[in-house]
Amino acid sequence: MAEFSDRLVDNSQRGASPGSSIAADPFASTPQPSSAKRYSRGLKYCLSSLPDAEHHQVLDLGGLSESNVSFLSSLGCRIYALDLLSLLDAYREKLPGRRFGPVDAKAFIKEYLGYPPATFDVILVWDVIEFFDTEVLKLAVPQFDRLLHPGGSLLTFFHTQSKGMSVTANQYQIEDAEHLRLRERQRRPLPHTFNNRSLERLFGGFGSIKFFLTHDSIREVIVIR
Amino acid sequence: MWGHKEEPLPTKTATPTTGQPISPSDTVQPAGMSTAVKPTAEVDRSSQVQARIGKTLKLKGEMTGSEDIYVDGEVEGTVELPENALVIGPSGNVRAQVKARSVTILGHLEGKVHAGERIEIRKTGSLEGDLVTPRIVIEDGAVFRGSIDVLKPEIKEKAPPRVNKPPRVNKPPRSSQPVVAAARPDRPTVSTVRSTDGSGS
Repeated sequence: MAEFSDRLVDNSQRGASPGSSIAADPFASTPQPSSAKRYSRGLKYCLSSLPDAEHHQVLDLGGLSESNVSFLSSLGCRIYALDLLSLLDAYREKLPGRRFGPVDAKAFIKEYLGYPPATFDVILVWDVIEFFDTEVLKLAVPQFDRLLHPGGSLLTFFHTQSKGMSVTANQYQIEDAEHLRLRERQRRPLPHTFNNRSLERLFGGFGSIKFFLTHDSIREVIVIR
Repeated sequence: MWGHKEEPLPTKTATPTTGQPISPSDTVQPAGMSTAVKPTAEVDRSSQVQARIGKTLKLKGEMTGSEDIYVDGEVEGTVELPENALVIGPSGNVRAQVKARSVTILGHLEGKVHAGERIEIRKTGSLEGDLVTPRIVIEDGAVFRGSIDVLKPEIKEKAPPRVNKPPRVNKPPRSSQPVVAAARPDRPTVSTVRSTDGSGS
């Protein structure tokens, strides 16, 4: 069976014209993304908060990664995945002036984060949230709150650099319960500056918030509903 | 419809004029050749035959079958190939509820997908929907939106209960005693090679 599929795929790729792919992933053209392994206290804390029972529902906003699917499914989780940053970029491209207004932001949130309330035990936002436009950010955080079960947790990362500085947007691949592999996607400017106080304000509607400042200038944030 | 080919496949020795799908058994043989004995090369070629939906084809409705299918056109509806593979080519666009043994995506698939063996999303592929599969392969650059239920592999046969007792070794029968193991066949036994001198231990 596998041989059949491989043969078909090989044949079709031979005849495929370049750029014939359907989804234009802006990150797919990166030649050979570098990757680095790092310890994540935030991930460890987040996963330890999962109840013992199986059938947890996890939302991964960093796109689909085989290692994440493999690891989370081994914990008995059902995984919901979408590459929210790519979707955001694609959505913005279609907007007049390429800027999110309140109506656009609402439509975007409804389209891509319109899950039923209290659907998820864990939301893995990674560093996606810090690249949100202001209007999207305003609506996304309360929506995350609605999507989490009471007691559910959200893991997100923030660079410590200031607004306008160019930072690396990564894809975060779970290696084990304490380690992540970071695959560089692209460098992009930070649209916001966050410090502990602004993060507390941002996630003020949640039950609790924890920060872990890492040696690589990333602030890991765990928010519990 | 299924027999649509964009290029003549080299795997056939004859092309049917009816437009019906070609199965390996449809291969026309020269007169006098036994059906039981095919030349090796012909057998190899005919094993590559598959149903194919070309780029210009659009299909709406229910698709069921027991052969592998390659889709490079558009399909809308349901696809049921419980024992076979579905491959969606780079130009393929499928909006369907899919049940197949394996699903490989180079194009676009939207809908619920249940794969008995695996789902593979290649780097040019995009998938939007809810997946149920024991195994998923995702290439970098693949686009996905939806949920994944990874099934645990089924244990088809229940393993026999383990006996904690140490295995019993058949001792070679002594000429003066009956063979006890033969009289109690319900005990687990392990046969040993008897030594030629008859000592057995």
